[in-house]
Amino acid sequence: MNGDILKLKFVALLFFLLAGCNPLPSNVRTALQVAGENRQELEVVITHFESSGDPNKLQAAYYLIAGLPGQYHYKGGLVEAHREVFGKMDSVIQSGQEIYYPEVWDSLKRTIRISSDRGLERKEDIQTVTAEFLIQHIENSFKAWEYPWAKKLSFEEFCQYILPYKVKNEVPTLWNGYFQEKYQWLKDSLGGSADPVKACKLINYDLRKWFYFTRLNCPFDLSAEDLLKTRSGRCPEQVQITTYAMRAMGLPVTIEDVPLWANRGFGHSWNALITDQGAIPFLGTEIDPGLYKLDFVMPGSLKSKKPKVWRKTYLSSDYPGNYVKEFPSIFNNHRFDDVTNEYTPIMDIEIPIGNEYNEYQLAYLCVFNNLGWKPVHWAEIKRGKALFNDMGTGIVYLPVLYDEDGQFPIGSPFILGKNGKMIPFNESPDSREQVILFRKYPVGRDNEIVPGQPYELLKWGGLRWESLGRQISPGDSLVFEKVPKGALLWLRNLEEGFQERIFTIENAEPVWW
Amino acid sequence: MNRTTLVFLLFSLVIFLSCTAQSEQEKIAFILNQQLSDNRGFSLIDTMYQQEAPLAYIINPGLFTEKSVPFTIDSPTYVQIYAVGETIYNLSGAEKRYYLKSDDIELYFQAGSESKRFHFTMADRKKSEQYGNKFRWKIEDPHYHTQISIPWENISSVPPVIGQVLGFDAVIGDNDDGFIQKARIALNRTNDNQNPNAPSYGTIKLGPSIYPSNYAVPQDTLFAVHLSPGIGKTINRNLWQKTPKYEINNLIYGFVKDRYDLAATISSAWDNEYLYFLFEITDSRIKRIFPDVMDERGIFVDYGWIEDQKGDRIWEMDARFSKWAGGAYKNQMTDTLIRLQPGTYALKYVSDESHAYGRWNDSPPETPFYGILLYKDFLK
Repeated sequence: MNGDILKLKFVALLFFLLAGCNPLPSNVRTALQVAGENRQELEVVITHFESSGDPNKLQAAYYLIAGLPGQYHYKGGLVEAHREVFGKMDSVIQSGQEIYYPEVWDSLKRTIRISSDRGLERKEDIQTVTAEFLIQHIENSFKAWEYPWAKKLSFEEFCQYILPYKVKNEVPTLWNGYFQEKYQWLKDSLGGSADPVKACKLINYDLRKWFYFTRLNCPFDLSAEDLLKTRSGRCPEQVQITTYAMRAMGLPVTIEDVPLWANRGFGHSWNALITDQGAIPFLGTEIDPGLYKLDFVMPGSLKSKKPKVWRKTYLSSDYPGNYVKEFPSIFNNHRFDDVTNEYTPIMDIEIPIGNEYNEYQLAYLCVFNNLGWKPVHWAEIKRGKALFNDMGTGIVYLPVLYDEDGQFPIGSPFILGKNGKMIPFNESPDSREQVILFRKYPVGRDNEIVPGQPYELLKWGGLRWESLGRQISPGDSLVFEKVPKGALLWLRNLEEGFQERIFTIENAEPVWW
Repeated sequence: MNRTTLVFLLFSLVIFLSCTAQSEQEKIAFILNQQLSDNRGFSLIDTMYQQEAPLAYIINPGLFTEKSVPFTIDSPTYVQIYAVGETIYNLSGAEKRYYLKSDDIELYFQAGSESKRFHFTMADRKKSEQYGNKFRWKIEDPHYHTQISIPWENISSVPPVIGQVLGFDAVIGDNDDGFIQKARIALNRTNDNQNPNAPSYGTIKLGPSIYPSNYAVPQDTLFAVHLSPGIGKTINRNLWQKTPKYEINNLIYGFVKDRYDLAATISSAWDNEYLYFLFEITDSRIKRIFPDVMDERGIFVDYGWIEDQKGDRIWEMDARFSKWAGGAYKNQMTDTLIRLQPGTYALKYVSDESHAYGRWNDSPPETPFYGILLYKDFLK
């Protein structure tokens, strides 16, 4: 193939020199400009597929090249240090020993040598990707489109859900060829069926056998090659390896993401199979389509509320970060579609913005997550208002603005009702009550009040949290006198733990938000 | 607005409301008729209700339903409940007998014509006793060790002697998610038959105090070492290390990922009072389900219930007492009769984020409706 590529490079050079006003789509021309010295590699890809005579393959090449600007991965000492460990893990697995993944990973990760010269260096894909890689990836993708269960996908669906060569900011690798080889039995196993749900379940059954859940924390996105060595990871890695496997086999599978839950800590990722009936969620390497529920991510856990659900895409969406200086880093990944309405009842929220904030372009809505107000969405400020579309309901939001010092609230927290009403917390300063608390968080024995530990009860005081008093717990409960009725409260353990939630008191019982 | 216009508007409103009410009646009639002509085996509603108006109903709810329908009972009445809903995914692929069971151990014995089954679960206290059977367990994540001592009188009316052979099997159940047992492995049997009267599945042989090195133990025989009198009370790990250890590795139900997911060995010893067992079990997710937790787990995600005037739930759908409603296994139906005292009640139904009427993400139920339907039982 290398010889062919060299010939193509020469032909491509001639072609692009002669065709000064070639009919390339404008976004492809832009990408070629951004490519710099790597431009010729991309031109080779275009020439290759122009000469192939298959217009779909040429359009697919355009699609990938147009989406290249801004795609990146990391290299550097820290990546190499981790790869050494992935290699060791792979060696242990290849040796045939049965290993207990959490233990092996815990012990191996302690051997990662982190020093100041072992940093992360961002590399732009558009300046590093080779023609050979892209051509092979596209050819493999078209092979995937030929599978019986994939044939009815439109070209647009093919481009969105099968063609992308990456799903995160990982080093590009040829994963589709690998999985096509691995799962070549799929067609026979389906016995003539072209049901994508069945195909998806069969692959997921296989993934379950060899991919493990571990608390694998890594400062960069692992590549397919890395994941095939570690064979383990958290939900972001579970859904990543699943997406590779499914897409390689012509199954339109996406990564769905709640960056932050509205009523508990952290967030979650899962997969969805795109079907004629809509997206069917599942958790790759664990739970099949048709069985997975987002409301209860962990059995027996609190119902999880979703302020925003995003679907990862290959192409970039409109992105205020391009023109707004102070933009929260949580929104830095701008390759997503808003699919909140597919997962939870939604309403729009219009927040009035006072004249004193005229110079601000964007407003944000926060939820309470991991001991603070964290932004989950942004909206442009137009004519003194910020309109937030498709927000999950039954959730407490706080409107904020951002400047160089960080975020600051511009209003009071409110509950977004199912009818779209913004329900305020009606604190009554003149009406107070005694509050008895037995826990600081709605679930888990660890969140019960521990005798002898220091606690502080806070209430939202308009623009910040205000103390209602500190106590060393005398027993399994805390008693606070003269707490304003209707106030939004937060009980902090001043010594340990991170699971704490905001709440109100109704009929002497906490209602957790 | 003059009086004629007002009368006309009121008349129109009455007509509109009666039409709406009629269409609801027609909806129920249609559903019932559909059901009566349905021979697929998932008929739910008794034909005797064909001409009856339901007492209350919430039919074919879509996603994110939260509905409440009031109804009144004038005199003590039996009420027939038909309900169809969706269980949580954890229960979706399993038979009822695996529901809400902790990690556990079952022992089967056959002595002559006597068959016995003993059941020990991780939800039992670390040291517990049931009918004289002593059970102790200790967790050393991801392993747990269990020692069981069974008095001879619980196994057989015949006193034990060296060389005696009893029918025997041991089964280990593994629960990883807190809801169902997802795998079971056995010492001898090859299928998950839990009938204690079924033929025995292997044997246990009461041996002498030292395991004879030249003794060829048949593959399906467990060799129990004889203990000197009194030593059984202080049986310890050193002693167990001298007894032969057998792997329990017949997968009789479910899926075992690897030996860290589930693996077990069994050793046995005996004296004139007890038959002793040591189980060394590897299980990366040890789960115990306590009875009081079961009710809190919300094992239906789309389900109906009845509340009294105080807001107390007096009945609700329970996956433990439901049956398959056709389609995906998570579709479950309930058919039951309850007695209600005079009063005002609310029939309620909720559905969650996926798999409800009009938006199924797996095969829909094959019952004539989704939701809940109440009839007064006029035969009672």
